[in-house]
Amino acid sequence: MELVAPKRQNNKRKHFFTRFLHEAEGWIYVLPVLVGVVIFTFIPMVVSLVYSLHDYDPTKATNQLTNFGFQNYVRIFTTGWGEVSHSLFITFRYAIATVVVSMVGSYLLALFLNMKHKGAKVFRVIYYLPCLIPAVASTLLWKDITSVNSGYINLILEAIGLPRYSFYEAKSTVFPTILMLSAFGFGGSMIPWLASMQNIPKEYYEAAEIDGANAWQKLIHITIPLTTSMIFYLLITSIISSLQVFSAFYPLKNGIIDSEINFYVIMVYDRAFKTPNTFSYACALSWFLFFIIAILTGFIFKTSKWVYYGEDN
Amino acid sequence: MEKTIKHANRRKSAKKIVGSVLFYCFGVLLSLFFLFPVYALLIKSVMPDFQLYEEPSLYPKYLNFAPYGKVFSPEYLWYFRNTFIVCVLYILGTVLAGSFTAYGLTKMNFHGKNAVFAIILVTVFLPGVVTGIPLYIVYDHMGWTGTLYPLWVPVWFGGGAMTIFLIRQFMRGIPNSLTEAAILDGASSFRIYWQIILPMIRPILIYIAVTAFFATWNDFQGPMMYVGDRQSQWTISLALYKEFATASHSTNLPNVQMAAGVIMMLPCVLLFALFQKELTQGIATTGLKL
Repeated sequence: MELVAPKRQNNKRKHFFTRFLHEAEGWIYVLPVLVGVVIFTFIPMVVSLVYSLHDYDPTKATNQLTNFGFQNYVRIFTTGWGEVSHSLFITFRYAIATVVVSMVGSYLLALFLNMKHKGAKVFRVIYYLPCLIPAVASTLLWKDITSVNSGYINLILEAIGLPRYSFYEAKSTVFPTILMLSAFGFGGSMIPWLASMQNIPKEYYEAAEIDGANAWQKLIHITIPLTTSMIFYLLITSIISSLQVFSAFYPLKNGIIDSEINFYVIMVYDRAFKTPNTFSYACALSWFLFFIIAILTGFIFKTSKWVYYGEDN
Repeated sequence: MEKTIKHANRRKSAKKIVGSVLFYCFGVLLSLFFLFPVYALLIKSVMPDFQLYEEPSLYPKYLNFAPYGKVFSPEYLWYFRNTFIVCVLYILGTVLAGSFTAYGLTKMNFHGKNAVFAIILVTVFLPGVVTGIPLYIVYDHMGWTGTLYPLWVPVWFGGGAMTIFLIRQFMRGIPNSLTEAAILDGASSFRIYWQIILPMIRPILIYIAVTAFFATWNDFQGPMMYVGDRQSQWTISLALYKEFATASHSTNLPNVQMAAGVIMMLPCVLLFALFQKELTQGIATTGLKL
């Protein structure tokens, strides 16, 4: 080891230099993500905002921004309101109904498997299987299963002497069908529920048993309160994702039931790519949805005092 | 006295047996329910053509493997190849870039670190629809529409907000004394990341890789928006939609579509069976803790 003390000034400069290097080194690690956020998030958002405030059609050879103004936003609430309000209605109805049904259903399923009998793991895999059918294949499969003439469900209904049901082939039965079929997806959220239930220390239940608590009391006073952080997480993510539902229903379009599956993002997609001259209107529509989701998320976070994050908080 | 205890015990074990029987009965009933769509998928994939529309039935008169022959035609194998390329590049990107960024955010000290993390977090809550449509314009300017690039290149820039968030949570559990010891030994920060941190965060990386596989293997919206009509670049999901859901191709039979579905489902089932433990544990750490 060198025992000669270096000059003080030199030391200071070196200190500054190494600190600078250290700072720069840290920035290198976050540089890619910052570039990515700018290119794939920030620029598209600005572009979208600018387009929504002009008339613009990317399919035209002379695509130029013309007519600055709020006409696209005005259109949402005037000439477009018929379609938009119907789309908002079916999207929110879908989101609320399926989120509630799926969360309750999958929670019950997880409670059932959490009873710790032998073989519960096998059941867990089986219940999850429908979720492993790839999205488009699954949509087409259900379309096939629910077909009025050759679908399996109608074959079974007829075999046991019940009338055939129209499922996805008549407007009035589309929503009930979606709700009924959502039951097959309960296995999806069952896994996170189970994970958070198994994280609850056994001692809590043992202590409750000594105090003479029954199964219902254990559920109300231990299991549910200690899984609120997962409830909160799944609530937020499933509301946000179901308000943007697209892939699960777009392949069902057949000309007859289209208005009943004209969910918000499907409407926006069609406006952007399928109908001429409405690209900037589609941008305005997507900003409108963004504001709705932002307000909703903010509201849920504001009212999230019921969430329990463990004792350290 | 002894007798009453014995009685109580016997009553308790009888109650237990009834409980078990009820559990298995109910469990099997539910299994039948959840196996129904899988049964329908499998059985329809081997259904003879005449039983599709004319004489529909719950079980085939004989097993027809011709649909699988069609799925293994050069055309479909090409769609699988495209999907596979996207999956591999996407998974590599999300695992490498995500852990790289998370490492910088957890183990490095620099000014503005928290601001960077805040910016990343905000993008989690940004609905995809706001950026999805204008991104088409951006990709079009870059000449990327009709190619596979939009499906995997973005993830190489940071790996995605949720990935960073998850890895960061996991990395915080690694004691700093470990990396500090390596620094004293003269290891560079990149070497610490590559040789010490990466092996230690394996469980969360497996979780991220498997979920990334599910997401890209199944993705339909991305290919639909950015690949579109260019058939040579179709992924299998897009091909299924184009061949079987759009009216212009209605000559394709549902048994072929189901056979393709079965083949698509196989790797997912395999991965789920192999990594069930990692998947469950990974999910347990997902809980939003802001």
